[in-house]
Amino acid sequence: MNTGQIISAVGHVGLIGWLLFGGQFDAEPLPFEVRDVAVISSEEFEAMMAAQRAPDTAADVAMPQAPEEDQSTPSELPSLPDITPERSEPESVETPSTDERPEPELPEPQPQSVEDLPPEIASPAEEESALLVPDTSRRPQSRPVERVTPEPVAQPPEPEAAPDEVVREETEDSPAEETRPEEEATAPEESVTDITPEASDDVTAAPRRSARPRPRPQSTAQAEDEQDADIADAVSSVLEEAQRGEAEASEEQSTAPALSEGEADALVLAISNCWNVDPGSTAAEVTVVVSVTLNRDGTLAGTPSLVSAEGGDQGARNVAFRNARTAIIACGRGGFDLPSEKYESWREIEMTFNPEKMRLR
Amino acid sequence: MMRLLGNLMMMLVAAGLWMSAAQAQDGPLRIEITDGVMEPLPYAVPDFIPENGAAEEMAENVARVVAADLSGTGLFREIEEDAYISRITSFSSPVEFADWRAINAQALITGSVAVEGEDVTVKFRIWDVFAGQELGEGLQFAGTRSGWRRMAHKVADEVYSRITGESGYFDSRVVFVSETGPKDDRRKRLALMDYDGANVQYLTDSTSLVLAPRFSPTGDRVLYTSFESGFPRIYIMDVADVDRRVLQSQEGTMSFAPRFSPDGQQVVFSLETGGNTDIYLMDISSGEETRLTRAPSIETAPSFSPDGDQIVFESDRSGSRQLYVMPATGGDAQRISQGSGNYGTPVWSPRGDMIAFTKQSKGRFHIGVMKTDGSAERLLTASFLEEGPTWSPNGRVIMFTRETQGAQGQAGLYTVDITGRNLKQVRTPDGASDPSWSPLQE
Repeated sequence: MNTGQIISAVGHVGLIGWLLFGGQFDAEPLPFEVRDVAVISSEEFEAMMAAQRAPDTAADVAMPQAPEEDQSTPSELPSLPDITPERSEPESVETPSTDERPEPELPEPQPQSVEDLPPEIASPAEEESALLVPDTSRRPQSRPVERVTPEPVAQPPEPEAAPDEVVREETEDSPAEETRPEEEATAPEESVTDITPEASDDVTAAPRRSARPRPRPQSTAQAEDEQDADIADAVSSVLEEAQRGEAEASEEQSTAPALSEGEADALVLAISNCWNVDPGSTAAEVTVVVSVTLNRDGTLAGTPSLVSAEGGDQGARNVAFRNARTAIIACGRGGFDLPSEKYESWREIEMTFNPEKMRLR
Repeated sequence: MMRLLGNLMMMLVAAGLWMSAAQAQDGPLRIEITDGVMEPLPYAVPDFIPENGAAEEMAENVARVVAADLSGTGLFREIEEDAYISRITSFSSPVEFADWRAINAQALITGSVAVEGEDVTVKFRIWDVFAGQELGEGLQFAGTRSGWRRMAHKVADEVYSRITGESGYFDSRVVFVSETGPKDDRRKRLALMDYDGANVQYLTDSTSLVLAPRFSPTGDRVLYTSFESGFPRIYIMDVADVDRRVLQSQEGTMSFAPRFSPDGQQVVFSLETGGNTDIYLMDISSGEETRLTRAPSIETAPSFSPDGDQIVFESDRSGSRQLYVMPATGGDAQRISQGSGNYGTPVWSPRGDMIAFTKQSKGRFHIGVMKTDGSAERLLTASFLEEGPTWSPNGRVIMFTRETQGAQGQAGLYTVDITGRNLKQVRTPDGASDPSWSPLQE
C-alpha cells in the first residue's frame, strides 16, 4: 500500500464521514438556523410539505374515528345527568344507597364544616342609630353556619317548584360537570397522539437535512487536506457539542421544528394580556409553573395543571394557580395562534408565571 | 494511520452522542410570563332568589351590599345585569358557564334569601366560571331582619376570601370622632359605624373634647383620650354597654395616644410630666406602669407589632420627628424613617410586614407605608392635611383623616388600598376624624 492509496483511502472515508455527519460538526448554529424559516431548499420544502400533508391526512382519519367511538360519551353525558339526578334526588333523601350519585354527596364532609363556621347571631338588640349614648347592646351575630347542601336535600318536598329542585342536583353534582370537559378533551387528544409518530418523523427529518448544505463546502475542503490536528479539533468540538446539546435539551426545546422567537413571544404576549395580577396580594409572591396540552388547532386539550409553585402560603399558591389557569383558559378560548407545522414543539407547554416584576410587598 | 482511524471512531461515537441528544429533546416547550395586567376582576352577582314573598326586597338588598363591598375594594368589577345572557332563576339550577364566560365574568355569586318573621336565612355559592366549577362549597348564614347588612358583609367576606386567598374586612366596624360645628367651635363625640359608614351610633355626648379612640384587639373595648377633667386623660370604654372609666390619672400630668397591646391586657401610651413626654406601658388590671423611654425629647404615638415583641413610635430626638422601633420592654430604639420631612403616627400592619405613617413634607401631608425596617417607603396619598392611618383587619386597606383647607374646612374619613389606588371617601353624617378599625367581627 503506498502513500497515495493511504491518502486516497483516508480521504474517501473522511469524505463519506462528512457526508454522513458533516452537519453535526456545525451543531452550534443549528438551533438558530432551524428557526430561519426563510432559507428553504427544495429538499426542505418537500419535507415540510410532507410534514404538513401527513397531519392533514391523519387528521382526516382521526376526525371521523374519534367521534364515532367517543360520541356516545360526550354527547350523552350532558343529557345523562339531566335524567339521573331527577330520579336519584328524591331517593337520596330517604334511601341514600340506591343510586351512585347521592352517595358521594351524602358522605361529604358537611358535618365538619358545620362546626368550622359557627358565627352565631345572638338575638340582636335594636340597632339604634343617632342616639346619644345609646345602649349599644351587642349586634346580631350569625348563627352556626350550615352547609347548604344538606338543606336542599331536605327541601325538595316543601317548595312548589319540584322540577326546579330536581334540576339543582345537577349543579351540585360537580363530578358530572367535570367529566364533560374531560371527555371532550380526551377525544381530540387521542386523535392527536395517533398522528404524532408520523408527523414527528417527517418534521424532524426536514430540518436535519436542511442544516447540511451549508457546512458541506467548508468541511469537504478541510477533508481534502486532512490533518491530524484538524480532525482532533473537530472531534473534540463534536464531543463538546454533544455534551452541550444534552444540557440544552433539558432546558430548551431545540428540536428542529421549534417555535421561532417571534412566535414564542407572541404566545407569551397573548397570555400576558389575560394574566391579572394584584400586586398587593400575597398571590403576587408566588411563582407557579403550569402545564398545558394543546390541540393542533391551538385550543386547550384538557385543563391546565399545576407543575410547581414557589413562595407564599398554600392559600396564596392556590390563588396564583387559579389566576394563571384563568389567564390560559380566557386567552386560549379561540385557540392560540401557533404554526400547526410545528405542532410537536408546542403540543405540550410549561408556562412559568413569575410576578416578580409586578410585586409590591 | 491507526491514529487517524481512532479519530474517525471517536467522530462516529461523538456524532452518535449528538444525535441521541437531539432526539432526546422532546420535552415540553417552556415559556415564562412576567408581565401581567392589573385590572379589577370581573364578577357577576345576580339578585339573590327570594325563597318566599317576604324575602323579595331583602334578596335584592343583600346582593347589592355584597356587590358594593366587593366593587368597593377596587379589586373587583361588577358586570351589570344588562349584560347577562342567562338568568339565575333558582338557587339550585345549573349554571350555564358558557353564558357567563361569554360576558367575561370570572366569578359568579348566586344566592337565595328566606325570611320568616324576624328570621333571615341567606344561602350562597361562588363559581369559578372559567374553570367551570364551584369555588368551595355553598354556605348559609342565619340571622335576624335587623342584622341583614352584617349577613351580606359576611357573604362578601367569604367571597373575597375564596377569590383572593386572604381574609376580608367587610364585617367590621370603625370607631371615630364625629365633628360638628365650625372650626373655631367644633364639637366632638365618639361614634361607631360599620366599615362602610352604615349604622352610625354615638358613644359619648359632645360636652367634652375627645381624641384618638382605639379599638381593642377583639373589638369589645375602646381606649380614648378625653378632656372631661380639664386635662387629657385616657379612658377605657366597654363598647357593648358604653361603660367607661379613667385608666390613668396622675396629678399634674397629661396622658394621651393610648393603644392596646396585641393581647389586650396592656396599654402603651404617652405621659407628659414636667415638660417631658415619654412612652409608658400599663397593665390594665393592676394599673402598674412601666416607663419604656427616657429621653429629654418628645416620644409619642406608640404602636405594638402584632406579635407583641416591638413598639414603633415617633420621636423628635434627632431634631425632626422620625419613626423608631424598640423592644416592647423598652431599651435601644432604632430609627427606621430615613427620608426628609417629618414622620408621625406610625401604625403596625396586622400582617406585621409594614408600618403605615403620616408624613409632612414641603407643606403637604401624606399617608404612606414602609417595611418595618424603614425600607421600601411608598407615599399613598397627598393633600393639604391628612393624618391618623388605621389598618383594615386584613392589612390591605388604610383609613385616615383628610381635612379640607379654609375656615369652612371639614374633616372626613378616606380609605386607600395599599397599592395607592382606589382612594375613596367614607360616607359619614357629619365631619369625622381619628378612625380606628376593628377586627373582623365573629
